[in-house]
This record gives sequence, structure tokens and C-alpha cells, in this order.
Amino acid sequence: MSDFLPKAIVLDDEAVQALTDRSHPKHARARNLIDAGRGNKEADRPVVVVPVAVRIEAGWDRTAPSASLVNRLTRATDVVLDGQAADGAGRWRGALGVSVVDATVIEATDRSPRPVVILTSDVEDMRRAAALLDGDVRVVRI
Amino acid sequence: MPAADRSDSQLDTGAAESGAAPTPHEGGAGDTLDAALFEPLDRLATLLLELDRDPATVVTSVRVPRPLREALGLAVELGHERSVSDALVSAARRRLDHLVQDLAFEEYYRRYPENRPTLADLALAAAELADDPLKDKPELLAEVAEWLLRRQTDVGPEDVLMAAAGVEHERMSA
Repeated sequence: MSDFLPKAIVLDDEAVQALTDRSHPKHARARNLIDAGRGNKEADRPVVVVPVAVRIEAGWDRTAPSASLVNRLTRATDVVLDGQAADGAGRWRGALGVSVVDATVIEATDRSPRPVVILTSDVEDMRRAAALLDGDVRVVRI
Repeated sequence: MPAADRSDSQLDTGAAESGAAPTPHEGGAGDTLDAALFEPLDRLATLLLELDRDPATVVTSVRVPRPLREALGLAVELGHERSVSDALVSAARRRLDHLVQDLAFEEYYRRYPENRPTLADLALAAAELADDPLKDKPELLAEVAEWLLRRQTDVGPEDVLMAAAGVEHERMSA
């Protein structure tokens, strides 16, 4: 099974919120998906990434005590929005009519190793994006 | 954020991330977990946070097996690694991240045993991540997980998926 686990997991806003708050209705589901990603072998563990715009929208300040749960369960790496990434996100926004934040999710996915999973509540938009991205891009509803 | 607020936040963070004066969790607004629940991880998590923000380096002496040193040198020559130091630091960082994650999950389930997923839950989640057709067969995964757990305790979600794939194959060819 480990061969089929994703190499990267991209979090959207609701995924972050679900992982941050234990009382969130989707907390258990989000947590199980991250837990399952740990797999058997350390080398197979996917990297969890979060676009910085998602962190802003979700109010995820890594230094806040309330963020300790999501910080530690995910060990998520920031995907910064530099000029090049902004250009890419702008193109996705134009092509798909998605929100600015979702455009950064798609851009971060585009830059992630394959296979990659997007954990999202916006399955329809992300599936439209996945169809345009190269390689094995999976969309999992949070 | 205004500078004054930032300073307060950093002070809060220092207390929370270093485990100083933890506040008992009372299941407050939103029942959001706080750092006080993860005291054993605090120092490690703080150091990794610092690593992200202040990558100042120190010179240290590490004994590395000769073949590993040569292999890393070759990886640098081939352009797969920037330097031997970068490769070693990156590997150590990855290992520590995994350690923090593992300890965080352990601590979380210790504190909230009612939230611990079943083997079938994790197998289903793994099937979703793997985009495996078994993601649409939660009953089969639960059945196989239960069967495996009756025979051995050290089984993981991947064992469930492999066994369930075998069962599915047998059913299809029967």
C-alpha cells in the first residue's frame, strides 16, 4: 500500500480548520487522513504542505498556543507565495474562476511531488483543477 | 499585526511552546486544543519552529560512516544534493518532524482515547489517500480488519488493504 500513498498532501482552508479544532465536525475525518498518511515506513510518509494564503484565511498562526495541535499533527510546510507563485495562482484564478486562496492551493499542488492529494471541502473546483494538472493528482473530500 | 500585539503573542508563545505554566484544558470555546496538552513535545516543537525562523548555524563535529560520506559526495556531484551538510541537515530535520508528529498523535490518543480511530478507520482513510477502489468498501475493510486483529495485534492499515484486496480478488474470480 505504501507505494500508493501520496508523496504530498495539500491542505485547504477547511482542512486546516478541521485539524485545528477538536470540536469541528470534520476533525476526526481530517485527523484520520493525516494519521493514515504516516504509513508504515518513514521514508514513505507524505509531506504535508499548506499555502500561506490558506494559513491566513484559516487564522493559523503557528506561534499561537491554539495552533499547537495542527502544528504537531501535520508538521505542515508553508508554501510561500513569491512572485512566480503569484503569477501561477493568478493564471489558475483566471482559468477556473476560483477564489484567490483556492488558486494558491492549486498552484501549491502544481509544485508538489506526485502522487499528490488535495484535502478540500471544495471538491468540484479542485477536480476541475486536477484535470488540468499533470500527473497523479487526487482530490479527497474533507 | 501591530508591534505591541506581536510582542504579546511572542510572550504567549514562549510560555506555551516551552511548557511554562501550562493552563489546564477546560474544553473552552470551540474545545480547541492548546499547547498545554502537549508539554512533553514543547521543547522539541519550539526548536523546530526556531529552525524555520532563525536558521543560524553552528559548526559541529559529527562522525559519519565513510561509505555514507562518499555516497553523499557522489549525490552532490550528480546534482541531487546541494552539499553534504544540506543533505545531513535535511534528513535530520525530516526525522525530527516525523518524531514530533508521532509523539503528537500518541499524546493526542492518550488524552482522548475515545477519539482513537479503529484499524478499519485508518484503512479506509489510507484507501482514500491511495485512491484505491477499496475506499468504496468500508464494510469489507472492517470485516478484514477484525479478522486480522483476531489473529495478530501488530497490524497496520496497509495490511488490511492488502488482505482486503486479496479477498476481493478471490470473490471476483469465484
